Amino acid sequence: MPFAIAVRMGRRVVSAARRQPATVGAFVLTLVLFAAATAHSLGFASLSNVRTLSIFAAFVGLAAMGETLVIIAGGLDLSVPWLIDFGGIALSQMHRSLHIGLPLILLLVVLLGMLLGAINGLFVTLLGAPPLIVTLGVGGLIEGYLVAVGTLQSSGDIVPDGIERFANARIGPLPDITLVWLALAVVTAFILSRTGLGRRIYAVGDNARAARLAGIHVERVRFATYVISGATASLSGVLLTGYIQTAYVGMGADYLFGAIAAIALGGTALLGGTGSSWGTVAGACTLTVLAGLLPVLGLNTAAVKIVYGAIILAGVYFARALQKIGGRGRGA
Amino acid sequence: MEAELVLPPTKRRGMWPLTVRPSGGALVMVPLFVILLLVDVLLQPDILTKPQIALTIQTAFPLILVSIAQCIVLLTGGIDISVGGTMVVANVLTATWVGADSGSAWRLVLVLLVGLILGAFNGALVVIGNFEPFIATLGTWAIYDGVALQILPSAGGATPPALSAWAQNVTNFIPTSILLLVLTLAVWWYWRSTNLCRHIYSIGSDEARARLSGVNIGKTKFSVYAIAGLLAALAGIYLALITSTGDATLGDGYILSSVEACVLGGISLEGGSGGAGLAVAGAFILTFIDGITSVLVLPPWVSIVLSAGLLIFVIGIRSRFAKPT
Amino acid sequence: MHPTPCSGLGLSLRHLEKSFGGVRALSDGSIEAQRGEVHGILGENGAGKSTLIRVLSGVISRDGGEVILDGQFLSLGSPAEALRANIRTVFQESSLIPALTVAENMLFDRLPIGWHRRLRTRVLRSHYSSIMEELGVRWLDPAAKVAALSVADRQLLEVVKAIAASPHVLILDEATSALSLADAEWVLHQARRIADAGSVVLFVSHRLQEVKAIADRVTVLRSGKTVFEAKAGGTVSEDDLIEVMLGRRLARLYPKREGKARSSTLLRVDSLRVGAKLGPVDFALEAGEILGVTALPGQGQRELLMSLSGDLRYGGAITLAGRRYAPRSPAEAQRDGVFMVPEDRQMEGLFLRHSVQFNVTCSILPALTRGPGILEPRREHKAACSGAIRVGLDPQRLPNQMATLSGGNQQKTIFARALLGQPKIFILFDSTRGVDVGTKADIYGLVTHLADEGMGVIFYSTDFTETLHVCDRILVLHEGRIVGAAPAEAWDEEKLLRCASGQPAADAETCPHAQDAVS
Repeated sequence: MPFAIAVRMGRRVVSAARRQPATVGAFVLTLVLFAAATAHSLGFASLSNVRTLSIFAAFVGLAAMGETLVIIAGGLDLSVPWLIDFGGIALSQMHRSLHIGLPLILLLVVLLGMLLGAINGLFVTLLGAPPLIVTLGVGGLIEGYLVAVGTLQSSGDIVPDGIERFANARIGPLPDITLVWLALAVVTAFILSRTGLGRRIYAVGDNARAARLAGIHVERVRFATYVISGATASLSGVLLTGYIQTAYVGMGADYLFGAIAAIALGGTALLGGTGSSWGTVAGACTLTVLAGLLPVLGLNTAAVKIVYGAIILAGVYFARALQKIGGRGRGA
Repeated sequence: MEAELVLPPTKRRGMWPLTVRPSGGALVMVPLFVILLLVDVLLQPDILTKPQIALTIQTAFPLILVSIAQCIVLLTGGIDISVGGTMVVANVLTATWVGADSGSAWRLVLVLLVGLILGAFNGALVVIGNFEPFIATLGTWAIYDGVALQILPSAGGATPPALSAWAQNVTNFIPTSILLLVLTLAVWWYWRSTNLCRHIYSIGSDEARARLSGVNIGKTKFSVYAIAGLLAALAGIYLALITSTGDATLGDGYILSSVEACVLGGISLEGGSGGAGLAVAGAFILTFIDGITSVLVLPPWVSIVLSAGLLIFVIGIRSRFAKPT
Repeated sequence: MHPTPCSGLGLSLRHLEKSFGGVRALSDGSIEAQRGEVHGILGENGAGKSTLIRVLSGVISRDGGEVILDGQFLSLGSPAEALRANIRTVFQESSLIPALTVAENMLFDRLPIGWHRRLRTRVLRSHYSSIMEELGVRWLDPAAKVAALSVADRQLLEVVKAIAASPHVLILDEATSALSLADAEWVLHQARRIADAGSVVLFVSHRLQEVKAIADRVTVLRSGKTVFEAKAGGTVSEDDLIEVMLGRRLARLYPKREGKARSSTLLRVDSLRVGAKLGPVDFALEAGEILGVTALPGQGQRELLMSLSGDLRYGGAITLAGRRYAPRSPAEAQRDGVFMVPEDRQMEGLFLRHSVQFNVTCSILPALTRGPGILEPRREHKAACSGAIRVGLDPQRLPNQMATLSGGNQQKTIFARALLGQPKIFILFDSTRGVDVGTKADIYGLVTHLADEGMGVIFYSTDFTETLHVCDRILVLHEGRIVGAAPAEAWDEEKLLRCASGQPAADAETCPHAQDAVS
């Protein structure tokens, strides 16, 4: 009986893979880069290195997770870096000043992140303003607030012990952080493929006008995606702070580029309408391995940037080509 | 069947050329510009001297150029994130390859050419490679930034002394920066009525119909990105000359600022309306805000919140009351 | 079909082919038109007419076949190339750029540029004035932005733009559809004049009388092929032409109505107003009735239908089945049982990158989920299948990508979607446009059947023949008001055209009005 289940799941994976060939391509690229890195330096494939890579992939992946939904629905959330900053700083601030349990703090931080996402969502839907600018503005507001709240002293107890322990713990070979990321990836994939909300997200991104005329509440759908993005980005910040044991404005800065590149590498069109959560997961893996590979090859910062940009362009090009081949005659 | 032809009297005699009319975006920008200018002047009365004005313009000029570059790309409905990268490549080339040797100042022309080529590469990605402008210029931004960093890993270098002195001058009868600003606006005013510019507006207004009317969409878009690269390079060169040094890290701030300047100036992100004049105004608005916050010695977060809030306010008003074409 | 021997001067389209994805829009399109000739092109929507025109205009590239003008083979890879060959098209969807002015649009590809590369405005204005005067057309303000023009003015400008260039080949694609009778007459006069001056004029129109009146010869397209070609003189009757176009006799296209007794007033509209474009408008719809609405483009029909289906705000009162009906969105309209098939299925109706099943079920998602919105795949599939079968769509196609379906099947998908919601009122906004004859027949059958079952149907169409045969009662809109309202028997095609143009026949003061079932 378990064999039959395995076969059925295997078939499902294969049919999903055929519908999203770019995801497969990104995973393949990841393996290729990984092999190249290992060939150069065997230590790359060590368990501890893979764990570290998976943790950083999780940070990018979480930041990109909500963003994937936003982009599929046809929007864009540029406030992600400051949401990450917010997650870490709010965690630390609350830990110092509020004396409530850790789980409650976590809940509060994520809820506040959702509230910030809701602000994005409100501006985009109520004003009808281009998301690029609006989320940039909201990000600026968040940044201003965080700067006003003040920089942290680097003494003592910035990060709650619980988080610190969690960030360094693991279940079996996988770090807890990675597990959280993968679990949420499963949930996100489920939302996209098996729920009404997911359908509506695809519809709104593919043709917002048609979606409205088909009876879909376009504004509500878009609003929801920004709220989710607020949640996942601030969660990413929380875990990041737990891992690097500090929180400061600007710590999320690199993750915007990474998130969008991961999403594009995974085959999601930046204009929306198609894409998948697993594609973003694959893209995050690709980017992390790439970022790990380049220093191993002895490239300096400048060369790393150049190669990074070039590979992203090439990767996105092939992702799109693969999607086009896969999309012929088959539906989403 | 002959219709009775009656020519109505021409109402506007030569006041506005056919193409050029104030766009809706200017309506929000103008009061903003005036108010902020007045506040800034009230807080810093000594800014009204010619050297001070020249200095203000000098500091703002790189942003002005980059904003104009961004403006023409936005007009076609695209975006150029790599302007920061092209800018610093030109910047560091000026500080190294051109260097302090006055005899090699002619190399600046080649640096401009490099900017044109970097922009053209963007154009090729968008037109031939069919990349979405956002992701194409995101990728090239990383590449160009890396190239600049490779050429000049840490700030330094030197620029042609005579040229730099001229660029930094604020005490001439006509200070250099004012001259350059007037020149820029004159070039724009001239270029606005050319066919290429009209094609750019047409694409932004309605790309499908522009194609039906015979516009070569690919060629026009390609030119837009190339010209944007040229302008960004010019900005980088100028920045090097006024600081007498090169710095590969300065580009990033200009990217989002250029988009903000265009939005504050009233340019639509969908394309088809707005012009360089608005981009220039928007750049000045950002400069005024900076000036105000520094004079009032406000904590840094105020300036951040102010420009962010203003951005949302401006785009909100524009979107809420935008008339559909 | 045998092409006439090449006479050296003229336009020759030989065996043109074009496919979109898996759909063959054109398999053997051929036209022989000589200089000095007005050549009519006839064919149902979906027959390949518009594809042929677009190939000739350079808008799309052909897969096979040749285009020869005056003995020269043309490649026509882009609209610019066609313009360089002086092939000018009056596009149905308009080629005018909204942000530019009337004068700039008219002379777009030959604007007077001085040595300084800038536009010479005064020269432009005088060119414009002299052209307008020479052509004898009514005046349009050269400095007005096209975005501000009415639909009729835009179409007129589009025609002037093409004619002013003294083209070798002039293509008029439904060039009179939005024009007043006077302007339409002017266009026909110009077409004749240009042909007489030695150009080739291709005239596409679904108004058969127009084509017969002006064309020297006609070519008929059907299912992507040229099927007929003849002199347009007396020997060929209109009925013959229609039969060739449709591939069957007209009478067999339309189902018989069973004339059920009217049961109740389903919808009552009082003083409906939408901005300056529509209103006030009053009418009622009975259960089981097919109410036809027809108008020239831009007369307020869009405002009427979109406000009824919840997409536009309006003033006035509407009652549906006795209760107040005031939808603030299409979602609310659908909740009350009003469903619409939109005008432009590509832009407003379809999710091209997704599957047919996705497109069919997207309006009834709440009914297919359990718990916190989790879809039940089996229920969805069952619903999609039943929806598809109801409209005559093969359920095997459900997993296919929407973009690969033909126009007719795409339209059927939208029908299936709307019908799954079990509407009380079904609004069809030009649903047979761009759809092949077979699908049209299916649609007529479906609509009649739905009405027989008690649904109220509002059927908007620009095809008068269709409107006359399918509808029970017909409303005619002009400049935002209802200028005619009467049972179908009271109308004929000429009356419809005249009333839609705002000019009832000379011997009647107004268009047909009937008092029954209204207020």
